[in-house]
Amino acid sequence: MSADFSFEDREETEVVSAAKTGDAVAFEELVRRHGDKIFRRALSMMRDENTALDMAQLAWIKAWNRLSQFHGDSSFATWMTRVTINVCLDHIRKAKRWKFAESIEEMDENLGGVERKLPIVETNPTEGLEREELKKTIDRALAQLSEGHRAVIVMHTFEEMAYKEIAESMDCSIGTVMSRLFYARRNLASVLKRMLEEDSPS
Amino acid sequence: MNEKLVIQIQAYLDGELSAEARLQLLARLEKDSEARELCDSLKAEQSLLKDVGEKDHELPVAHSYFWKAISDEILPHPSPRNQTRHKQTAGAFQRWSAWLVPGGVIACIALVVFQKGLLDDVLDGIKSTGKKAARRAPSFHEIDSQQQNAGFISFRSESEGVSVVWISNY
Repeated sequence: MSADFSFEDREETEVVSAAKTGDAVAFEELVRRHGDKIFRRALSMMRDENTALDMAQLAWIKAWNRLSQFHGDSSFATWMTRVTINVCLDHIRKAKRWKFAESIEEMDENLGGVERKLPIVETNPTEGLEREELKKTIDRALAQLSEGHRAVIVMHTFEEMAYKEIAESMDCSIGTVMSRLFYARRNLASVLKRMLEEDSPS
Repeated sequence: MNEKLVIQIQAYLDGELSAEARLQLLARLEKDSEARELCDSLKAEQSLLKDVGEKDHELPVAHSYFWKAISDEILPHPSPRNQTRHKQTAGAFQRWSAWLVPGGVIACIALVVFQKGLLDDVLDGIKSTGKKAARRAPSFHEIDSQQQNAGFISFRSESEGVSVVWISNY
């Protein structure tokens, strides 16, 4: 335990350094600072509040045990988010819930052609919608995707992970990541378009 | 549209295409309107997601509750065996301390009574007549003479059960 029990006003690097020496008070401060973001990431991956809560807690426990592996190459938040994503991916993998086509050809076979199944989305199909309203709609659309598709979109779009990083996390080739990402995006576009059509007053 | 082209367009938009492949794709997009249309469509979707961002979600439980679940796992806590031992030690101490206070009070009272009796005897000894001293003299024996030079002499009479301290004023 640290002699100084308050880390509220300390710089992030200072708090992380203290936590790395085993200071639980410092670690609690990190949980306080990033708790919402980590939960949000777990929720975007899992879509179930209780499961997301479990995953977020598990991620923090893993982070505590692996703090020595954090060398400050990225921000603590980024590192912690990666830990969370990997915890969620492990959970999904164990549950064997990957449900997506592995290639464009397979997608074509299953759905009768990419172009026919996934219509081109107009340049601005969301015009006129308020930002918050749009966020909610995207959130709902993401919820309708499979966990695998949602994971790849979250990692690439929101976490800005490179193909290589995603491939490492998902334990697959870069080529697989590229096709999964394409399929996931087209699926999302399709769901979004349908939702917006349903929501719009006709 | 073939898979390779679709993937290339996406990689181009994601900034994952090599410089050479990028130039080749741009040349292709100049000529292929269908490929250009797909590229515009993908670009719009990606911008939409990035610009709008995610819906904000907050922890659905209090921080203290959330932290407790984590700290229970990461902080060392006594093993069941140690907990039993701790409880046994605490129980023994509680039983012992239950006797400590009344025992202490009794000891204090006894000490005060003994000290008062001793003091009375000392005073009696100082004021005693020769007769009294003579009566006591045979049974007195010196038990400490180390302080003679300092003007103190103490006696203990086992038969009478008293101790006497003689304080000399010279």
